[in-house]
Parts: sequence; C-alpha cells; structure tokens
Amino acid sequence: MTPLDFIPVLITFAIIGGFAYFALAVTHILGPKKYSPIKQDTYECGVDYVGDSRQRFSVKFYLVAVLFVMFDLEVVFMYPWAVNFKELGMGGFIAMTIFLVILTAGLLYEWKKGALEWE
Amino acid sequence: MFDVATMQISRLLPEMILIGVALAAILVDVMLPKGKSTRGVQWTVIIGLIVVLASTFFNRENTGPAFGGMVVIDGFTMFFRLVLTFITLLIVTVSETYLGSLNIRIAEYYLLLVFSLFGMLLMAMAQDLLIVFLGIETMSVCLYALVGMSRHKHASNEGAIKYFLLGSFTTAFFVYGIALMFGVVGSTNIVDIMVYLSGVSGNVPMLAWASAGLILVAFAFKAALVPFHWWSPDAYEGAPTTVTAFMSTAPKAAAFAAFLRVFYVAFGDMSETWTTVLWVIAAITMTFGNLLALRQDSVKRMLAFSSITHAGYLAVALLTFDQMGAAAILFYLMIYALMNIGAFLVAIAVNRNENDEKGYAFEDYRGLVFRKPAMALAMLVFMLALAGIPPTAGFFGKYYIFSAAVKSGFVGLAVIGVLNSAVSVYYYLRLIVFMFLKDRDEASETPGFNLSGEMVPIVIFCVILVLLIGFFPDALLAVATRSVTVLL
Amino acid sequence: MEHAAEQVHHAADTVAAAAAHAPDLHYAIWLLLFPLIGLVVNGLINRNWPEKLTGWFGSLMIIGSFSVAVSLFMQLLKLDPHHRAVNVTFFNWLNIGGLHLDFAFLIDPLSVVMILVVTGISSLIHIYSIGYMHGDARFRVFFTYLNLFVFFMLILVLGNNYPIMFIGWEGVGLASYLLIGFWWEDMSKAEAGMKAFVVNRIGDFGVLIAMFLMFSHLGTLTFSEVFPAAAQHYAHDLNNAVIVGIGLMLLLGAAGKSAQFPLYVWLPDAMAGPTPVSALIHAATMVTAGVYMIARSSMFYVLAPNAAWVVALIGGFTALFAATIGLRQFDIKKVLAYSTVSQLGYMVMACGVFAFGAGVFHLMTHAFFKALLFLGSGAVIHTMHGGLHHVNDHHTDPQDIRNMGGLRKKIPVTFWTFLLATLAIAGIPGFSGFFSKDEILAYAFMFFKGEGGLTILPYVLGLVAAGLTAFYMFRLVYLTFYGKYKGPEGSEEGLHESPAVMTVPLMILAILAVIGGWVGLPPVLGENLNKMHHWLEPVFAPSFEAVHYHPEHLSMGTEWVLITIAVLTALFGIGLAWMFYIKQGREAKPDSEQTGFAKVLWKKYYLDEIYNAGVIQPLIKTCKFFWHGVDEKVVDGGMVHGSARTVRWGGSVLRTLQTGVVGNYAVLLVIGVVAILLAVYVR
Repeated sequence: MTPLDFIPVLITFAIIGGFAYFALAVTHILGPKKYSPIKQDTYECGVDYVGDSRQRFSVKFYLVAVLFVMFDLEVVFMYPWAVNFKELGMGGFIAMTIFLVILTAGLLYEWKKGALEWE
Repeated sequence: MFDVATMQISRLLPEMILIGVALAAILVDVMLPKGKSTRGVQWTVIIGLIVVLASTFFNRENTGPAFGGMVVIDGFTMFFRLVLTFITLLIVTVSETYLGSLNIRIAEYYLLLVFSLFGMLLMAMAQDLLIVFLGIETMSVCLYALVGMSRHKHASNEGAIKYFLLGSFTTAFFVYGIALMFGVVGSTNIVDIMVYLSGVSGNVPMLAWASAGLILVAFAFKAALVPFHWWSPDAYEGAPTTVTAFMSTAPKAAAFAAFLRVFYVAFGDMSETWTTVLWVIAAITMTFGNLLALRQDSVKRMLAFSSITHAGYLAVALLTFDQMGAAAILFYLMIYALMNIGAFLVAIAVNRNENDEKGYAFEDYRGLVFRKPAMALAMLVFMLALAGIPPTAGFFGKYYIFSAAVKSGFVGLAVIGVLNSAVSVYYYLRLIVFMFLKDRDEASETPGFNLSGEMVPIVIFCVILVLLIGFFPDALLAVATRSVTVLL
Repeated sequence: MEHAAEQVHHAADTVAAAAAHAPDLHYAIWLLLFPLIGLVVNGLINRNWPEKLTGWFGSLMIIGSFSVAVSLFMQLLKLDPHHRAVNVTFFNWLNIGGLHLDFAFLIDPLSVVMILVVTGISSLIHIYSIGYMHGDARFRVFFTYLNLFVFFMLILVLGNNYPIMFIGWEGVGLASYLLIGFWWEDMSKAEAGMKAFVVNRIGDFGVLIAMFLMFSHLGTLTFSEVFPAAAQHYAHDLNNAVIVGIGLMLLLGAAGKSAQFPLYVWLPDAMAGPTPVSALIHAATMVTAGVYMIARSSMFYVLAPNAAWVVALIGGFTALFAATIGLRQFDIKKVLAYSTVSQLGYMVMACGVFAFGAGVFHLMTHAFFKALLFLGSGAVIHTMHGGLHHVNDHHTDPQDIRNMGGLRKKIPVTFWTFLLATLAIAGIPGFSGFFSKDEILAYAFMFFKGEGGLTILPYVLGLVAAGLTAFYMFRLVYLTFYGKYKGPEGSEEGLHESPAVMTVPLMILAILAVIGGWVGLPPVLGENLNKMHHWLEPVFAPSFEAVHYHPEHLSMGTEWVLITIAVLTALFGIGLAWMFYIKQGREAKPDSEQTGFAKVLWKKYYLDEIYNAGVIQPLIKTCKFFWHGVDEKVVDGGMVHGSARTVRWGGSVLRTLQTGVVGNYAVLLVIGVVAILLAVYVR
C-alpha cells in the first residue's frame, strides 16, 4: 500500500468536516440573532437545571449504563448472525450458542450479585 | 465460508477449558449461599487449572497456527502456557486464608486471576499484533482491579489508579504503533510484517521504525523496565501480597513472551538498533531497581523494587537476539517465579498485621531462625536464589543470562549486570542477617504467624524446586532451548 | 602453532592414558559425605545431645574425611607421576548450548595437597573447638557451620571445572559469613560478617566474568579441556587481550577471597569470629582458595605474562603493606590477621613469578604455623578471660597485648608452641616457614635474572616484608609472654593453662610447623630433596611446556648468598624486636599517645576511613538521592505522603490525581518514549 491509496479516506474526512463547518457557518450567517434570558438558558424549553454539570452522581448509574452497553452489543452481534443463519450453518449455530451461554452466565452473575437492584 | 474445521479450534483446547473454568467458577459463586467462604470457588479454579495443565500436556503434539494465523500454538506457546498456568495455580492455592486476613474474601479475586491468565495466554500465542493487544488489555484490566482489591486501604486504591491511568496511557502508544505498522505493511500479522521487513532489508521505512519503537514502549511498560516502570512500586506495594507475587511473575513472563515473539520474529531484521536501545534500558533498569531496593526497610517494598532489577537482567538476555539469550529468558522466568513467589509467601507468613502501615518490616525477622527454623531456612534459600548464589537455581538463571550476553559480545553490559547482582546481595543478605545473626526481641515480637496450612506445601515445593533446578538445571534449560527454536 | 597443537594432542593422550590406568576413585565422594552427614545430624537430628557427643561427632566426621584424603594420596603415589590426574565423574551435570559439564572431581597432586591440608587442619581445629566453645549456648550450631564450611571447601578444591569450584567458592563465603557473625550479640560482629560477604562478592564478580570470557572464547570450563584449548589458541599470541582479561579477572576473585590489596579490608574485621574460625577459615584454608585458583589456572598466567606481572606486584605489595600495618597493632588477633594478609601476599606473589609450586608449598606450611598461631592466641585469650573473670573485670580487653606480659610461666605449653610457630613464620632455618619462603624468594630472584630491570621488585618487597614479619612477630611474643604481667591486679591468680583438647592440637600443629617444611628442602642441601616440588611438577608442567618457559637456574653460590641474606634479614628483625622490647624494655603506648607515622600505621593507613568516605558514603548518598530525590519527591511526593492523608475514597482520589502527580509519571514516561523515538531516528 502506498500513501496514495489513502487519498479517498482523506477526501471523506474533508467532506465530513467541510459539511459540518458549512452547516454551522450557514446557520450563523443566516439565522436571526435576538437574545433574551430565556434564549440564553441551557435548555431553552426543558426542565430547569439545578447546579452545574460537574457534580458527582451515584455509581449505580455507571453500572446500569455499562450493563446496557453490554447487552446492547450482544444484539448488534446477533443481527448479522441471524441474517446469515443459513450460510453459517451448524458451526455458526454452535458458536452463537457458546456465546449466549457465556452471556447468560454473566447475566446470572450480575443478577445474583444484586447489580440489577437499585437499592 | 464459515468452516469451524479450518480454524483448528482443537489447538486451543486448554484456553477453552480455561473459559469453562471461569464460567463454572461464576456459577459456583452464585449458587453457593452468600457467606464468608469462597472455598468452593477456589477449589473449582484449582481443579480447573490442573485440568488446563493436563490438557496442555496431552495436547502438546497438536501444534500449528489457528484462527487463520491469528494465533500460533508451538513449543514456545506451550512453555508459557505451562508456566503461566502453573504460577496462577500456585497463587490461587495460597490465597484463601490470606484473603480472609485482609477481609476481602470475594470470589471475584479468583475470577480476575483466571481471566488475566486467559489474557496472558493470548499474549503468548499471539501471531498478530491485534491479538497481542487483546491479550494485554484482558490481562491489564483484571490486574487493575486486582491491585485495588483491598478497597479499604489507601495504598491499594492509589496503586490501582496509578496503574490504570498509566496503563491506559501506554495502551494508546501501543495502538498507535499497530496502526502505523498497518499503514506500512498493510497487515498486523507478525509473519507478514517479518516478510515485508526482510523484503525491504536495509531500507526499512521510517514509519516502521516509529511503530516498533512505540510497541517497544508498551512491552517495556508491562515488563516494568525503566523508564517505564513508574507504576510498579506503588502498584506492587498497594496490592494484596498474593497479587504482588502474581504480578511480579506471571504478567512479566507474558510481557516477555510477547516481547520475544514480536521482536525476534517480526522485527528480527531491525535487531541492531533495538540492541542499542535495549542496552541502555537494561543497564539503567538493573541499576535503578537496585539503588532503590537498597534503602528499603520493608521486605515487600524491597522485593518489589528488586523485581525491577530482575526485569533488567531479563532485558540483558533479550537484546542478544540469539537462541541462548531467548532460552535464558525462559529459564529465568520460571525460576524467578518460584523464588519470588516463595519469598512473598514467607513474607506473608511473617507479617504481623495486614492493616498495619508498618507491616513487612525487616525488624520482624529478628532471630526468626530460633522461632521458626524451617521458615527461616526456606527464606534463606529464596534470598540466596534471588541474589544468585550457587547452588540455587537463581545462580544458573543469572549465569545463563550473562554468559549469553558475553557470548554475543556484550561484555560491558554483562559487567554492569554482574556488578549489579553483587550489589543486590547486600539487601538480600540484610534479611538473612536479621533472621540468623540477630537476637530475637521478645518485646516487639509478632505474637503469631500468618502461616496457613495451604501455604506450607507450596513453600516447601518452591524450596525443593529452587534447589533441584540449582543442582540439575539441565532439564529445564533443555526444554527452554527447544521452546525458543521457533523464534529464530 | 603446529607445535602447540601437537602438545595439546600429547596432553590429551596423557589424559586418556591416565584414564585407562586410573584406579576407581569414586569413593572420593565420601570426602563430601562425611561432613554432609555431620551437617545433617548436628543441624537437624541432634536436639539435646551433650556437648561432648555433639563436638566429637562433628570432629569424627572430619577425621573420616581426612582418612579418605590420606587414602587418595596413597592411591596417587602408586601411579606414574605423569598419570596422576584422575577425573572422577559422578554424573552428567549440565549439557546445554555447547557447554558440557560433569559433576566430577579432579584428583591430582594439587587437589590432594589441598584436601590433606583442609581436612587435616580442620580435624585438629574441630577437636580444639570442643574445648574452646565449651559452654557456648549455640555449641551445636557452631559445629554445624564448621561442617558446612568443610563441605564447601572440599567442593572448591575438588571440582574439575570452574562452575563447581565456584559453587564451593560461594559456599565457603556463606559459611565464613555465618561464622564471623556467630557472636552476633555484638552488632559490630554481625557487620563484620556482612562486610566480608559483600567485599567477597566484588571478587566473585571477577570470577564470573572470567568464566564468561573462557566460555565465549574457549568454549569450555572444564580444567582438563580449557587449559589445552587456551594453549592451542594463544601459545603463539602471548598477552592476548582475552587471556590477560581472564587472568586479571581471576586475580580480582583471588584478591577478594585471599585478601589482597585493595580488597583485603574484610579479613582483619573477620577476626570478630570465634578464634577457631579465624584459625581454620581466615588463616589456614578458605583464604588460600584464591592462591589455589591462581595456581590451578597457571596456564592463563604463563600465556599472559602481563597479567602475571600484575599478580606479582599486587602480591608483593600486599605482603609489604600488611606487614607494616602489623607493626603497630595491639590486638593479638589483629596482628595475626595482618600477618595472614602479608603471607597470602607472598603466595600470590609466588604465583606471579611463575613459582606456582612454591606458592602452594608456602600455602601448606603457612596453614600449619598460622593455624597454630591463631589457636595459640585463642588459648591466650581463653587464659586472659579466666584471669579477668577471676576479678570480675569486664572492661579490660582480653585481646589487647598491652594487658598481657609474662605469660610464659603461666601457660608454658601455649608459650612454647607459639614460639615454635613464630620461629617458623619468621623464617629461621630448619623450621617449615623458612623452606617455603626461601623457595619463593629464590624463584623471585630467578625471575629477575631472567627478565632483568624492574622485575627485582617482587624479590625486594618479599625480602623487606620478611624482615618486618620477623620483627612484629617477635614484638608480639615479647609483649605477650615476656616482661611483667600488665593485667588488672589480682587477675594473675586466675590464669591457667587450657584443657587437653586444646593443648594437644597445639602440640600436633607445633610438630607440623617445625617439620612440615622438610618435604621441600632447597637444592643446596642435595638434589631431589624438594619432594614437594616434584610432587606438584606434573600439574604445572603443561603450562610451562606450552610456552617453553624454563626459569634460569641459580648456581649453588647464588643460592647460598640468597639464603644468607634472608636469614640475616630475619635475624635483624628479631634482634631489633629484642632490643626494643627486652633490652630497652619499651612498653606499647596506650591509644591516646599514638603519634606520627606510628599512628598512621596503627590506624591502618586510615584505609577504612578512606573507603568509607570515598566509596560507601557516596554510594549511600546516591541511593538517598534516588530514593529521596527522584522517587520520593518527583514520583511519590504528592502521592504517598501528600495524598495519602487527604485522599478519601470517592471522586476525590481522582481530584488529587489531577494535581499533576500522576502527570509526573506520565511526563517521565513520555520522555522515555521520545528518547526511544529519537534513538531510532538518529540510528
């Protein structure tokens, strides 16, 4: 591979970056600018904020987030398998079974350890 | 297109069993009532690891690449499989009572050990930089948690955090190195890299050099070579002592396994430059570790710093880029594991109170020979072995390393190494002085010993092996020499 | 080159022929087994045996070894002189990477002399210790350590290759270290043991490097192979850097073990151990290991005359240097310690002028009279202890000769045996020391005759040292045994002769100290009377043949002149001592009145202080710098000490980390990365 082969990648980068800046610049230039206290608010039409964002919050959120990501990815893994189920055949089935067994053991573990209980 | 048969999964039987062991241990843990004891998990893991060892042994003829060349099972892999599993088995066996004294008796300890073992096995068999990366990360994440296992001690938390931050920092270098190599070669496979580099021999592109340099940094970090060792004293000291014993042996061995495979096979054609770089690293590592260990009053810290020095000796053998040097590394890793684990176990047994900041003091060893002669004798053997005094195995370990260095023409480095090992005698000997040549001090004596029934056979086992290998180093060295033939 | 190869071939033939005719000497393993049994039984099995049983059991084991040694000697006598080198292989020990080593003994004239001396003197000293150590709380441990020492010492001299020798070499170091610190109640004694071990490691480092060089350039470490190989490669390339390197590194090892300048500092301190230990380990046997090694490696020195010249200079200088310190010491054991260093210098010097046989001869006679001197001094100290104990005096030093005097009448056996040994070391004709010293000086002179110029130095240094030796030894005798008793009042009644277990070994050694030299009579008394020389000749002959070295022979006249000069020098020294301490009745001054050069000598040239200031303190400072400076301040500064106090589990750990301390780690790490990348860039 020569550096020249990477030129398409560079072009992609340029297009992505260019579009982002283009969109920002256009709204900046075209959009009307009328300031008021409500407009300056962080969430103009949401819940009123309390304190600043650099506050500590319970570690339980992380746990839930991490568990969510894990099982989320599991599904990502299963979609392509399901689509190619026939082509992958028995080998694919066994592989996925092993994967699910491991995953189930994990689920069992976190359940029994009480990771799913909020209090 | 998806054919299990072509993957040669059977070659990875021990690793599969290992994962099975981990799952079984998890299930045992959740099925047993929530209580104080984790014996059930411990026994599951012990039996499982023995099965892994046995399957490695009976499956030893089944060699060759697997997973399309991502990993390779050869003599080298076999050697590390046995050594790493063996070390983990020793540590698992002695942990239960000790964990109890720390109030951290939780099953995750064993699980993390098993998973980190899996990562290390990946490192040993990897034939692709990405697999090396996977292995390093699997191992490291477990180690971060293991270091911070004593949640109630600041030192433990501190060591874990430092190790974690610097470890992730270094990971970035490693990934960057892999990326650059892919950019140059178009593949991350070690064999492909070797073929490419020998094809352009003498005209290696700059990017490949930079990439190899970054990968070197990552390995040096995991092996705790100066100046990438900064995390190790704190992590070693903060971690529960069984974890320290584990970390100073097994991950180091795994790091050197990957180091050897990547640098001897993939970057073998660039060896001249790496020799120079490693020369400097080895020299300062040996010296730096020694100078720090000299001033320690805690046995645990002393052993921690001296383990940096020992990594320096290993680096000396590494830079020879020949068979004798590589064999010397394997040989030394094995015996270093035995003597270091043995020494840490005695240290655990003598230590009065795990939660005492002043634990592991040299003072506690005063007149040990009169109170626990067998324990003092065992420690004597380990100290002499670590200091490299014949006829213990430690002597031959150093002997082979330095004679490999001289044979390859690195007389200067061998001189630095031997001088350093002469200096190291001082602090190992200090402990012997306390044990044998000082009166016991009844007033400040420890009331009892932390020696648990499971530790005794392991310590005896280590003593016997250290002496036996000292008298008959032949067999182990022959195995080590045969194991490294695939690298050169 | 061809010729050398032929000789190697010849040597190999000789070895092969010897193997064919060699008797089965496998029973030599009992040399090791006896002390091993003693070690195991006294160390592990014996729990509450009475002292006598423990002591005699340990001693009997060594006597057993001695009888095996004698029998081996007889076996060798039966053989043709050129086949007196028997390799006794027990098992194949190592076989890797081109290195093939057996666990095997080399039984040849040199090793037989060594094992006879080691086991013989050890037997006597074991028996003596039964009396000397009587009542010590760790009597059993003492005998265990002694047996341990003999075990390793025999491995040292018997091994047929360098690694086995090195195992013994380290083992005796360990045993010696345990024995020096045997009375560790006194902190300074434990430290003396430590000093001995650490200094010795500097020497060991030399031996290791020498072994690596041999292996990488000659491919083997077995005596019977490495020397012919060296001759083959380097006989026509004298002073090749490799061989000079090996020679100098071995010298470094010998200097550590045999207490040569500048590594001799541990030996005087080692006298902190019990006196039998000083006699056995630090006078008669272990410290001669360095001389043995140089003699064993004679091939390397004849192939590297430059290295041999350094050996001769170091030896000669040590002989003189230590003798001058000995002039002004007051501790009876310190005098003997410096005299040992000086005599070891003699032996090393002998090897440097290619008089390997004479060096080993002196090693043997020295073992007799120096062991006797130490045991005698032990008896004196024992007696003084008795006297001081009598008046409950615990402050007066029982080893200080300024507290002695007039002991001749009180302890006649000790006195007479001590005197005989002193005559031997002073080189009075007829006594053992005379013959060996004379042979060394004769060879040193021969060396000068052959080479000319500065090579007279070894001879001159040796001669001056001989005169000084005669002086300080008689000073010691006069101050200890003559004149008036200067101990505390009333303690005179408590002075008694030592028990028979102590005096009988003294008498046996006294006989040896007198007649021990008669196996090596000089040529002026008749041809072929130097049995020792002929006995050892086959060991060193191959070395000399390799380079066709034939020392100049001295005429009868020259020999007589040399002998006369040596004897006159000795008599001059004795006469001077007599004039000072008997005729003028001079007293040794107390510490506070020491002045001038005498004080410099008394303070041993301030070398301990210089080492301390020049080597040890800087080392400690460097460590402190690394420890306090780099590690504590930069790395640990905020973390261990700064943060440990403030860290609370939770987010605050991370906050503390953000103060930049882990940043320090990271910065140092990045510096490392940059350095490596730079190294690659400029490659």
